[in-house]
Amino acid sequence: MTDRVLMGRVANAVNLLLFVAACASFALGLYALGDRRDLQAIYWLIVGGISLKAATDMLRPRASGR
Amino acid sequence: MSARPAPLELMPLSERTRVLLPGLYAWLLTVELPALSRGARPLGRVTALLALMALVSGLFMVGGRLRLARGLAIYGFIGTCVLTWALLGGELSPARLDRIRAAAGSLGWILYAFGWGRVRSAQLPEDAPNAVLGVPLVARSHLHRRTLPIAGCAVVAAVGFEALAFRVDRPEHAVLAHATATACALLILGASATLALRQGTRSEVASGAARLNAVAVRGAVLSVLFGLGLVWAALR
Repeated sequence: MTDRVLMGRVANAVNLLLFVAACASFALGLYALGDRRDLQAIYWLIVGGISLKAATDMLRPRASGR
Repeated sequence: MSARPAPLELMPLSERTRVLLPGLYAWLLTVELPALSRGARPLGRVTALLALMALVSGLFMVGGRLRLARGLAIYGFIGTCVLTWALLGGELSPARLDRIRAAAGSLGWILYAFGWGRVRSAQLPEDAPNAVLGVPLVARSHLHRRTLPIAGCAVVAAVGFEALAFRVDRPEHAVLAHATATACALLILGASATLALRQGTRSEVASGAARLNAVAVRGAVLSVLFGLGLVWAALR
């Protein structure tokens, strides 16, 4: 297995991990909101939003790398 | 002598039933039962009854006038339901709502909306008079094996978000929770569609290193957030 293929698989795994993390974070945020833990809810929703944005950005990396 | 206008489209019985049953179900759970509760205003009960009449008359009594039927069974029905909810006021506060009933009612409204759609006819596309016959086109590629699990995960997550929103019992927060749940569900479904369809396609032409570099900043932010979260959890 070449380095390029290996890195591609790692990138795929990170991509899926970020997506699952986004799903879990949103769910934890809504769960915390139901338990009246508002600050935790905001925290998890922010984490979920950043994870989801990172997951989608990985699919179309810009040429500049940022 | 003027030509007779073409007969208007008739709504088949199966289509009427497909709309009527979920509509009745949603109306009963989310409109009629709250309107019959003790303390509800009498005018709310009247508008609830008008909603039922609009639905039934729109679907069965209008006959072949499809536009009028839809006007009554969609705009008339939903308009009178909204009017009933406005008249009920405090009876619909989250503290008084039965969550199971509310969730089941939401499902009824979804089915009512889908009921207005049409199922594709069983006729073969090649039998259409305007069809261009020839060698069937072959798909250029097949879906990747990871596509369906990703889409399935997103659908389960989206439904889960909507269910979690029903746990919130504070009135103002409940509205926020439902709005947030809907936004999260739409974001997840949209992202999952992109993610699922890109599996195994030429989007992976970018090297793994380039893709990892593209999220370096956000990855660092996430790491800091997780670190702060751990410190916060340890201090509590």
